[in-house]
Amino acid sequence: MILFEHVGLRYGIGPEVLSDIHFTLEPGSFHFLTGESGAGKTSLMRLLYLGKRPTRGLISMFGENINSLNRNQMALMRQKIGVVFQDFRLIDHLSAFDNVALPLRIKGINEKDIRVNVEELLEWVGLGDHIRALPSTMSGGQQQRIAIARAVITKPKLLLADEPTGNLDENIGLRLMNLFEQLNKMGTTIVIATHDMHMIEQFNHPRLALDGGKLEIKEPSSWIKRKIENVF
Amino acid sequence: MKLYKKEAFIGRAKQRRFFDLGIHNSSGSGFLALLIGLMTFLAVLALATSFALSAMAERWSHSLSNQITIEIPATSSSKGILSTEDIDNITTKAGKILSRNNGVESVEIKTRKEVEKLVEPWLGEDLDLRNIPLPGLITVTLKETDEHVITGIRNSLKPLSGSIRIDTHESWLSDLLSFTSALQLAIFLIGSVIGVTTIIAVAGGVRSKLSIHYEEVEILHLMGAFDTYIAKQFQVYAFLIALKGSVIGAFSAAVVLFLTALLSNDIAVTLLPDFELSTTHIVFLCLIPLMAAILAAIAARKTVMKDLLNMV
Repeated sequence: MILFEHVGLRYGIGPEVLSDIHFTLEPGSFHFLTGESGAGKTSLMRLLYLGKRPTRGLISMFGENINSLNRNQMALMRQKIGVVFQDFRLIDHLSAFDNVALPLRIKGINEKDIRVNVEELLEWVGLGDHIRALPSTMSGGQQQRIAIARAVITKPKLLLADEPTGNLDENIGLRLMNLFEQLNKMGTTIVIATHDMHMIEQFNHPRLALDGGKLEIKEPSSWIKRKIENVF
Repeated sequence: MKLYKKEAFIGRAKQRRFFDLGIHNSSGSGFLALLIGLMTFLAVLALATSFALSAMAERWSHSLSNQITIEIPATSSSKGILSTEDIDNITTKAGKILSRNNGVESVEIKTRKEVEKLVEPWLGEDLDLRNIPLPGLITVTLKETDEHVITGIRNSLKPLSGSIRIDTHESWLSDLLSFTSALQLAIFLIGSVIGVTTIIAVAGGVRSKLSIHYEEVEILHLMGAFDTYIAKQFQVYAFLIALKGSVIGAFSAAVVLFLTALLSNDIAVTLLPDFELSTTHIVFLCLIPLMAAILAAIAARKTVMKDLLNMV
């Protein structure tokens, strides 16, 4: 379970970009994160992938208060989280294979297992024939698929994705969303930051809506409808 | 480095990367290797000099231990300049007296030719020494260096000539050993400066790499890499760069030492013993590149571990 209690975040001595954020993500839940530009989506994502500690409030992940974790415990906690960055953040001098293999190598998985898993996943995302390609020679869509493969290769407990289908054509975007759905069914908690209202409606998951640094949880319309039906 | 350029050109990686971070193929590695090579070059030369000085001092000390030199001066306060026959006469008598002394192991009377040879470096080869009064010299090896034995020798020789001098080499040897010790201290300080400079250079180089690859390091952190995992990459990088530089530096220094040894054989230096290094010393010198590489790796690790504390 992921718990945010009255969390605030400010950069330096500037104003709070997130204030009094309060929510709970149940294990195996799927949420979209929405909000206008500057609403604080990136900052909230940063707190979720432990790229920053909050300036106030409490964040608890998988039963641990992250404020009390030391550097090594923090590293172990991050190994449970997969992130797809909006700008992909692939390592330029590593091939597609090595980029995807990176989280496994960090976890100390043996090279034989790494080869099998990475090749299989690259094949699945449609990049089986680009295993040795360097990111600089790949299109935006291909790089995005590498970034997604890198994020999911360890089967993380929490998957965070910032506009993961932004550069992809509809078919591949849909295929990757289905991958996220499958991971979610296997118990991975998923948060996807997106502006794509069509996708939000299509997949029908609750929304974490940010507005001016404040967060509101919005249930999908079909959920509300179903809940009303259940009551009556 | 060439491989990376080729791969970047064709857009495909030929092999698995040794480093997750692109630290090996960014600029600055060559300069660091050169700097470490230069430092190793100086360290090997300094250490070789120190070893040679130490060996020389040891040989001097060993060869002069238990030895004294008896000098029968060519002049006497009562008779003025002595004739060659008089000097030979006194020297022979002194030799007989010394041979009878229980504390003396051996006595070697230097012939006039041998004495001429000894003064030759100061007076030159061309000078006719036949008409120049030269002292008589006796090299005496004692069973052990004992002040009582020396006093006994001095007293037994007094009746022959009041001006006979006994040189125990003690003050000369002591000055020489102090001088070599001072030189060794200076070399040790130079070695320390070289070591500290290497550490500072490696720390600077690694810090600059860390700053260039900040974003990649951050990604590794966000994937759950421990600080030690990241530091290991820099540590291996610094080790390999330092090993490369220091092997070249040590090899260059070995060439210089070899040439110096060749040249010193050609130059007739009669005052100094041969410039020689023992096998142990040579092995120790050969280990310098490895020590430089280990030092660089430790410096890199410490620097990275410290700097990573400022990151997420």
